[in-house]
Amino acid sequence: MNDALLEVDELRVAFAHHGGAVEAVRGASFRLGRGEILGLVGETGSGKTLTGLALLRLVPPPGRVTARRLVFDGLELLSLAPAALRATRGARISMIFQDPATSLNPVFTVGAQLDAVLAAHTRLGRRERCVRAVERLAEVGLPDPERILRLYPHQLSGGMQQRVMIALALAGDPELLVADEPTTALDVTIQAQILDLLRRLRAERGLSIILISHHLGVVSQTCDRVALMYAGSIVEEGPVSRVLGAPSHPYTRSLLGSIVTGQRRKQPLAVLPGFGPAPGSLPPGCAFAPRCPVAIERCRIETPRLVAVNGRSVACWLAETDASNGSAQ
Amino acid sequence: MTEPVLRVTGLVKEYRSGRGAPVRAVAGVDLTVVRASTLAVVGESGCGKTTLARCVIGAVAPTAGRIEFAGRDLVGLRGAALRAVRARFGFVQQNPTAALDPMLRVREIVAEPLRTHSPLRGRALEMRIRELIDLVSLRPEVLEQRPPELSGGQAQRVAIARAIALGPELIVLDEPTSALDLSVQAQILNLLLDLQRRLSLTYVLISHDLDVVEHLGDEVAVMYLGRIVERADAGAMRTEARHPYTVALFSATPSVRADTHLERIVLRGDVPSPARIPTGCPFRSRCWLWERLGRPAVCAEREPDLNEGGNGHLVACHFADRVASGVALSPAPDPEPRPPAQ
Repeated sequence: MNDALLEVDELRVAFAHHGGAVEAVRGASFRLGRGEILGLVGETGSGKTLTGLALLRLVPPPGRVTARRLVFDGLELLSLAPAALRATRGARISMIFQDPATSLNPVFTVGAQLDAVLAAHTRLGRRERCVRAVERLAEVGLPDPERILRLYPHQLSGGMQQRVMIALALAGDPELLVADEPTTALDVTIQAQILDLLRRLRAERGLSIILISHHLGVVSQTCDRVALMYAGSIVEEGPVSRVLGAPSHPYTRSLLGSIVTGQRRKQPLAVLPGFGPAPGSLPPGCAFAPRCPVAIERCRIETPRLVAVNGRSVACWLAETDASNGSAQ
Repeated sequence: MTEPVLRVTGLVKEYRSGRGAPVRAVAGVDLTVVRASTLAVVGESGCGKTTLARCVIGAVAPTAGRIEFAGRDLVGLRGAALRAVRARFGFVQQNPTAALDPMLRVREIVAEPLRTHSPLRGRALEMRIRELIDLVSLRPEVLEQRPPELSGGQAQRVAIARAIALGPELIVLDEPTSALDLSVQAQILNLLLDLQRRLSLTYVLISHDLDVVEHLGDEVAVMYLGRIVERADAGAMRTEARHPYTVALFSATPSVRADTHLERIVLRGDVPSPARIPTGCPFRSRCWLWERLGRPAVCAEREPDLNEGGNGHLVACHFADRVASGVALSPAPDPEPRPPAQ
């Protein structure tokens, strides 16, 4: 309890739509321990990016963020005054995005961008900021940092740009880094370098990381815990080895079944039929029920809540029943 | 041995940039593709795989080399002769919504190649369109829709329907699933396998994703800086890779599989610019094996040829015999220990 850095309870993100409201995140709840890496996994439209943005109060208007609790190190994030928000966002909580090329400003040098962040979040003087900037670039594994300070983003490769983004995110010595698909735009050998870097930052700084990804392999190799999102809710959450090793929720099972593993070459993969529901046109009961291979009558009427089963949390009526029958797989 | 549909010999594509030496995007590639099989070409950005594909479909004129397709050299073909040959190719691109004209209805998109290259008109044309839409498991209702109204998976199915419309002898698939969600990717891979079986299609698959390459491919060619560095049976690639780059690619591919017996190898640095390729072996600047072997001089002096490396692989490495079962033989330990993987 005490070592939780972040507690998210019933997080909702809603958008006004044709006089009503459409919820894109529908009551997501999870906790993040200090020094922990949590993978937030889901397909397009599952609400994983909005969840990340909500933690930094960056959901664009007219999006409306509510939560029963959204507590970061004792601070209620949703009621922070503007000054306190500025002291938190970008300093204690920072975020990096999928495409570093569009996140960096093309008309300023790396040095100018790092300096701006350091000036905003530290009390360092000009010369100290320069020293700190060089340190940060070296910390993220960029060779010859003094030279890189003078370069513009377009003079860097994609992998180097993402390292610069991480250096910017580290400028204010954050405790929490939200990394939204940080390696999706990168080649696989560069992806391995960036994932290694994130793990090293956790080990060296005790940095807590939320890694938003659609790639189960990336999450499996990088994260301690994983939360799977479907239609704006978390359907299964727990230690990576348990959740991906022995999934309880039918959605987790389907996703794992549709992964190409090279073991059954040229054989058809298990396929999840249909599409994820559009926000605003959700079925009653469990949102996954229409695509679920094992749904029962109750699933179409009542919405299951996350409950602790087999060392993880699952929102599924059947997983609950399985567990109480002692026959959970 | 079945007849090859496509035979590429000594293919070179150079681009001039400014005053400097020309950049070799493809630097001497030999390939054959057997009927009803899949040749998968895998590599990272800038390795030349897409340029290779564009040469094959005649979208780009190679600087040197031969591309024999159905017994005739495509290089130098122009005008009507080139158009006639192109009708025998299909092409599926990475981003389906960008590959389809947003103003056209799906019916017109699928009809276009048929109107241009086949005698089908009127009812016969409509029947063929419906047959194609059915082959890619779409409902006839989509015929009235336009690409922006389609999901990514639906749009890729339409692109595949268009690619197979003329019964092509070869289909080039350029990252066909990279832009799609996981569950949709599985659907499209299943569709491609199903169509290959039913219609005896021949694929050249271009991808950066080793898992997809291994799943769909019969033969795999690994490219690095415009060269093929290893060619092998897709089923044997993971366990019997002999080129240090292939080993590193497999090692870097994150997997939920627990095959952690593979040694974790993280390459340092970026792929060098094709304008500044290292002397000798082009992979040398990132090669972990070269480091472990104490930087042997031969790697800096001579570019290795693509030779028989045992067990049917073709490998371009002077020290391929020092790599076995995906792990380097002695002298072992990694000079730079890494934090243990989770």
